[in-house]
Amino acid sequence: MATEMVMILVGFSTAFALTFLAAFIWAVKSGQFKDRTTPALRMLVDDKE
Amino acid sequence: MPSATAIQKNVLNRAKLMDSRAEVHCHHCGELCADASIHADDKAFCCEGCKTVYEILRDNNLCSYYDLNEHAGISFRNITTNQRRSRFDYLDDDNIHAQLLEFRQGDVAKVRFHLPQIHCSSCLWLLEKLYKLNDGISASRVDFVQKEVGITFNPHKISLRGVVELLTTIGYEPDLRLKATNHLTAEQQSSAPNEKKSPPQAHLTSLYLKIGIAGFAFGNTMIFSFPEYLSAAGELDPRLRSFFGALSIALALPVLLYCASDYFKSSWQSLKQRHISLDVPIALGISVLFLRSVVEILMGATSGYLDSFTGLVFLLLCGKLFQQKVFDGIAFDRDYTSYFPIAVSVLRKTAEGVRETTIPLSRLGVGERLLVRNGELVPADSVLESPVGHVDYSFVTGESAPVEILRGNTLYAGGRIVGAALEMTNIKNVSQSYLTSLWNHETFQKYRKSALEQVSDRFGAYFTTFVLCLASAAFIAWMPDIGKAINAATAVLVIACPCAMTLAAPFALGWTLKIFGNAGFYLKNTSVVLELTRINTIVFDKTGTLTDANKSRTAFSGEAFTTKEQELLASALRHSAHPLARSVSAAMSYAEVHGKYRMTNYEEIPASGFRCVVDGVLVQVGTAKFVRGNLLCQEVQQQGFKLKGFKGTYRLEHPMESRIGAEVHIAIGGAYKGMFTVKNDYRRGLQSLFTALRNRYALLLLSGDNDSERKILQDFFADDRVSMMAFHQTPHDKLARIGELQEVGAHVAMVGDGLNDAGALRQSNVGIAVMGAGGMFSPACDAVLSADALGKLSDFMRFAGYTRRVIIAAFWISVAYNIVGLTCAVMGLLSPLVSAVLMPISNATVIGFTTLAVLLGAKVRKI
Repeated sequence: MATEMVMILVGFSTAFALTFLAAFIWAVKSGQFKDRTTPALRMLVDDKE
Repeated sequence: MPSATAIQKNVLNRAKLMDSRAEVHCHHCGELCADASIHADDKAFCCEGCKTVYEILRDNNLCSYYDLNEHAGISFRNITTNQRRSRFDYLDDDNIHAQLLEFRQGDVAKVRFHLPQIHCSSCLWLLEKLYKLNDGISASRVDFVQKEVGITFNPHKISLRGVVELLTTIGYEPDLRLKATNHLTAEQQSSAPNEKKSPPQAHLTSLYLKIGIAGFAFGNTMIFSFPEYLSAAGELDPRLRSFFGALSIALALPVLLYCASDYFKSSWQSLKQRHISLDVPIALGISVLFLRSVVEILMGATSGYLDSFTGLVFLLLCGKLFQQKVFDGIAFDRDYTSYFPIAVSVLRKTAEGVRETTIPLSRLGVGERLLVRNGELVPADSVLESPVGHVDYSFVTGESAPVEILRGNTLYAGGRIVGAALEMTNIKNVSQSYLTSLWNHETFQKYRKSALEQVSDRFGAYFTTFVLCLASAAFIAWMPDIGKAINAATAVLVIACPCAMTLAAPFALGWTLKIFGNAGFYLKNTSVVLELTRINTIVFDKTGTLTDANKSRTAFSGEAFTTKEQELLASALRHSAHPLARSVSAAMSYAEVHGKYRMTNYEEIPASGFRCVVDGVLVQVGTAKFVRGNLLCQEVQQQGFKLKGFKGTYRLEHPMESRIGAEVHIAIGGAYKGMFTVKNDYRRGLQSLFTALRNRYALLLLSGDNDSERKILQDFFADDRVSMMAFHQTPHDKLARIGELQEVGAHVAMVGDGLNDAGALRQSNVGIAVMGAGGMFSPACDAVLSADALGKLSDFMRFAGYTRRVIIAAFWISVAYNIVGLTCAVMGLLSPLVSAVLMPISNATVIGFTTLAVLLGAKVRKI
């Protein structure tokens, strides 16, 4: 019984971890690590209106 | 009652206020305005261009530009309006469109421009508000670090040319350099690395992904292995074990197929070319580890070594990232920030008329009027303003026949002026990386790979063969026990690490290049460092190298010039780049001659002088022999010279003559007028430099001048056994002397000025061009030495030797690691897990050691 439990839980946790991996891959692919300076500056010069 | 001091303060403050009021700064760019005549909305501007930009921004409600940063704008003062017209005609061409546009479909087109002017948050703000200036532009995105802007626009509403012109009107002219010079040869293009150069980060993206995935797999397989490690043998439920095994294989597969794919690809490539690269043993180690683990898991024997497999790939990739980052850092600095100390003559309008000034190339803006002399290089793409000129593009295309250029035509960067000096207006910014690439052009690669590099190259093949033999030997030795045999063989394949040996040299040399650059000594490439360590003879030029052409005292003896003659002479002198001509030119206080006379038939004879026809009058400037046709008595002196390492005594004959100083004789209209005597000031720090050099090198002075300064030079070249001086040496003589020295076994470093000694610089083993304020760039040299750093030459050469020793030490560290590691592996003492950890550690050790050793060494030696 315990063995099945562990197998299911490990399966779930791995699947969950994979979503984070997917998030990481998406972040790299969408260029979020490409330019880390400009967004910081852009925030400072946002329009007053 | 205010005290006296308070009143005084008050008065002072008011005076200051008045002062600052008298100095009007442009509201747009912050440059000092000549007067307050150009203004709008009671704001002053330095020129119409700046005012126009202000008005555009005001009309579009974009004045926050000025609130974010005061005087944020880019100055327009040096850009004339007619230049900005019709310059972008070529952008209407469809071929150009295809090259520039990143994307185009229907109403949407995307383009990326490099805007070197981006410098502050105002730039960022304005450039992302482009859609307010033109409704054809839908969005724009700035990359501040790369100084790039990505623009999305509707090509039916605004053309590409329109976008470029819009950017130009507001002061951000895109750098379209390489696209524009496409019609030059393909050879030049391949030698220009900044052509659509992907920013350093681009190629890192996939590496980040690979590291992320490998790290993920590493962490999870590690956890799946824990039950096996923690439980006693046979205690673990077999179902659980096979479940974890299956999961591990599922996680390891993408690591093998994606993360490690580069190693397989490059191994395959090298095997196809019948060559064994250093990636071969790595690929072999990785695949053996993976296959062995999978087999063991499937047989149910163990849970495999997939945690070490993923860990190995993860650490290898991390090492690669670190290596890449450090290398990019070194290369980036070299391309973009380490401007060589090269100067350019600029003509600027002042109150008294046009004045010639010399400015560093790094501060040259677009739209300056340049004066480029015989033998000098065009620093940036320019439009010719003189009626006609001749340019030799041999540095760019390899074709040395001069090309005739007419007024209004474009001269491309890297062309060398032949004949009379030309005036031109530059339309592009100077591209440092372009000059660097020109410098590294194969025409100027003089030596084949140095011994060290050759060893590194052949090393891969030997190493791989050796490791394969060792692995099979270990396998056979353990043979009856198949488990141990496989264990030993795989451990050998995994632990053998050739990377450390190949990493040592590029890192040590890269750092040395960077350190030298910071100190004012710019090397062409890393192999020059190694070549420097082999030097045993240094040849010096005098004028412009040991002496400072800007600090000379000039005296004239002869009949006085008329004003007309003075003007003719001044007009003629402008055209020569020779240090003596520059000295005389600087000493003459002449009236404004810019563009006053027509000059034809310019001819410069190296080591003699030049002649030309100004306003119909023949002007001759040069040595006594050249101008008067006679030479005073000469006796020939012979000197001998022997050095350890030389095959024999080197003998040199040269004429002797005792005169007062370097002479520049003048004849105007065929009549001899007299001569200028130029007394030079020597650069500082020479005494200690020569004292230091004397102990280690043979020293030779080859001067084109007479020996009037022998007394001063005697201090530098005092030791007869290892040093001597020769005068009256033409550039051709210098070249021949160096050839002779090389024949008797000398490795010669030539220290000279870049222009007049170009031949000698090329002939020598290491050609070092000394650049002062007026120096011009010549690709013939191997190193550029800032005149201020001349005194440190001895330290630089010592440091090159130190770097070589660091590399050799790193080699031995790596060898020692391999001997210990491989011995343990063969004896079956190492599990593949331990080997997998040790391999990246050895890499890190070698990179860390070389980096630290070189940086600390530089600090200790105060370079």
